[in-house]
Amino acid sequence: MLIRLEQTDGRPLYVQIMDAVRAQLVRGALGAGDALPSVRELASSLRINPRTVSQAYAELEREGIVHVRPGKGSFIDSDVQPTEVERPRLAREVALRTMADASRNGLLLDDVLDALRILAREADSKKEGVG
Amino acid sequence: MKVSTMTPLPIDMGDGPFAIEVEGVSRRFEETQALDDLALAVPEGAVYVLVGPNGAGKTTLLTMLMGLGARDSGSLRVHGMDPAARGAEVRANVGYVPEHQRLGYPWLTVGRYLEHCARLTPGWDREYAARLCRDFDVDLSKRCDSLSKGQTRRVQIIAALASRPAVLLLDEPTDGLDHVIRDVMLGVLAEHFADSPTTALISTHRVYEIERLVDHVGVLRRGRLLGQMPVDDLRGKLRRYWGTAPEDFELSLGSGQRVVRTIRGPADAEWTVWGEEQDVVAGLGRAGATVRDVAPLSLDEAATALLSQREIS
Amino acid sequence: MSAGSLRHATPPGVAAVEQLRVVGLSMRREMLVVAAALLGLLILAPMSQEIMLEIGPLLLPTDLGPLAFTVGIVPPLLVWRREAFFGESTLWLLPVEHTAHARAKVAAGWLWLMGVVGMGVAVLIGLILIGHGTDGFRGMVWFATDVAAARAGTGGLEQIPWATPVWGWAHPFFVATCTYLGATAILLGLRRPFHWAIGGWIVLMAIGLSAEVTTAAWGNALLSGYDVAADGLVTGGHDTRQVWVTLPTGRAYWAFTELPTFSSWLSSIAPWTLGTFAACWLATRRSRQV
Repeated sequence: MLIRLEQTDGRPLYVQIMDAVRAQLVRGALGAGDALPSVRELASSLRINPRTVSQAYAELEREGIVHVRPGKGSFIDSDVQPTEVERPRLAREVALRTMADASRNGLLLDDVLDALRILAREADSKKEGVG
Repeated sequence: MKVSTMTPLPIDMGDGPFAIEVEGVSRRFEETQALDDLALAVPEGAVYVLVGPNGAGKTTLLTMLMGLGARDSGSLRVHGMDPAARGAEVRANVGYVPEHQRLGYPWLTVGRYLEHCARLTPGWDREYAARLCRDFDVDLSKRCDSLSKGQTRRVQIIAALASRPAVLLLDEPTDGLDHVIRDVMLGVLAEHFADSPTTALISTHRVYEIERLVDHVGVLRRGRLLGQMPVDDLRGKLRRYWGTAPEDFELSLGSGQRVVRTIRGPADAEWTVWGEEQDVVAGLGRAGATVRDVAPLSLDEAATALLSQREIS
Repeated sequence: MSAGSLRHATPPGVAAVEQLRVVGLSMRREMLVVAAALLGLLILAPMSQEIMLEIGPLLLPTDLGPLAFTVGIVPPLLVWRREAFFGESTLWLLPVEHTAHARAKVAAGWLWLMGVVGMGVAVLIGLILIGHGTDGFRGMVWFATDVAAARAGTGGLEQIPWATPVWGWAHPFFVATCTYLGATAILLGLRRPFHWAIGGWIVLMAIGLSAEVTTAAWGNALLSGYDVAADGLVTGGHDTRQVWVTLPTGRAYWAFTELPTFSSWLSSIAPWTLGTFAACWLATRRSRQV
């Protein structure tokens, strides 16, 4: 599993790690029972403090996404619901960031929604054109 | 740029336990007051970065913690031991990367120098040292005086880490390292912190390089600590607010809140403020400003903002 | 990490052994040069009759004093090369007690120095044995029973049989030790050792010169008047016990007014040894807090 962090993301690192795991679930790259990288591995590959990784895993466990098997590592919980729960949750996070970005640029929510609708239509017509 | 008064930042780090405790330490060198009634506490297990401009006293403090520098007053403890009285024991538990980049004996090979360290450092882990040498791409057969600054730095880092000491004192550890080796070092440190119970006190000008590794920060200026706190607290409480404000805007914030920096453009403004976000936003709103965005500062930006405040005497 | 799992400082013995190794490495090049020179001498000297005559017989090993004096000055500079005594040297960063460790380093350098002196003495004895056999350590010395009479050529001067005293071989070791300890004390105890050394040397030369010019008794006394004067260090006091006797015939000899003995040598060298040892002891005790 590959977890990347964006330099420009202003949110706390542990939150970014949590979202990265969620994104992998939604995409299907991770599924129930899969192992997460060890705290040591992930901290080393991301060059971050191991405590930050532990914090992210602990939060994920609290949310029921991950369970820790002592001495074995962290695994995706069998009750995880990528489509029903994690997908809308991740979408909400993305939307929040989009809204913040809009506000920073002096835009209203409607401006962004309009732009999104136009983009969606363009994408659809392209698809039809290809088909 | 309008400048506010100095922000009183938190200093209290709670009850510990602390790996390093500094209380009321002063040291004067002829003309300069290197340390001025300095108080600082590094909790056990913390990765604490000490930021400050040149001459703030960072190196003086680290040298003192190694039992090398005298102090005029105050008390200093490393795991409860005073380095001035129990220097040997302190050094047995501290891995130190000095500010200078000289390796003890130029006529020794790097391998022999590390062997010297190995024989004299309790707990030296030969296997780990060998792995570090591979990771850092160190040529053991080279003579110490033929090394470049960056190569010397690598050997110093290996010597500091190889015994997995309880405390690491790193003075500008990334100084002289190229991009690749710096990246290697950050990975090595992350693994080291995951594998060994360590408290690290890192002094650096380049906070951005180690930003993601540290969890505590202390801001030092002119031998005094402006503040120290967990990085999460800093990120949570020191934020940048963007918005618009009327011409005659006059901001008055409640207690516990301070404007660190204000930058005003023709139509909008940016405030860097210490305080709880909702209180600050409310305060700005009451004063007639419209806040459009709030963002935390990176550690580097925070340090710059705090250190560039002018002192009002 | 709790205080219970903290480590102890490195045992002094371990540190001392490692210092012996590292100091040996820091002096290695110079010691190899000396060893090569001695080996060359041992091989080449016997090829020349003249040189062999120069080398022996040796009746007074205390004559080796001036050479040993010079040899003892060099090692401190090698031992403490790249170890700024008042600064952040490697030595002070090690998990050992500073004073004890500085002494371990001094002792290590001293042991190596003794090795070098021993090598030199052994080569010399070997050459004398090659050139003269055991006769190299036997001979006649001049003894003045009455200096005034001897100078007047009216007797008072006789030759007496003499065998090289065994204690004399200890002399070069002791002289080298004294200069080694003295130089180390200056190097470690003073913030500007070279200023002090050069200044001190100038003062000594000035004293010597003014003593020479004024032929003042005090100057003479300072140089060789007592067992513990400068000569006591360099030749173990045997110069003090000799006079330069020029016979009316024009021939001149060093003649003893009193024969050197083990106790006269010891009373000359012991104060120097103890004095330089004490100076070195104090110098290593000096706080290196920068």
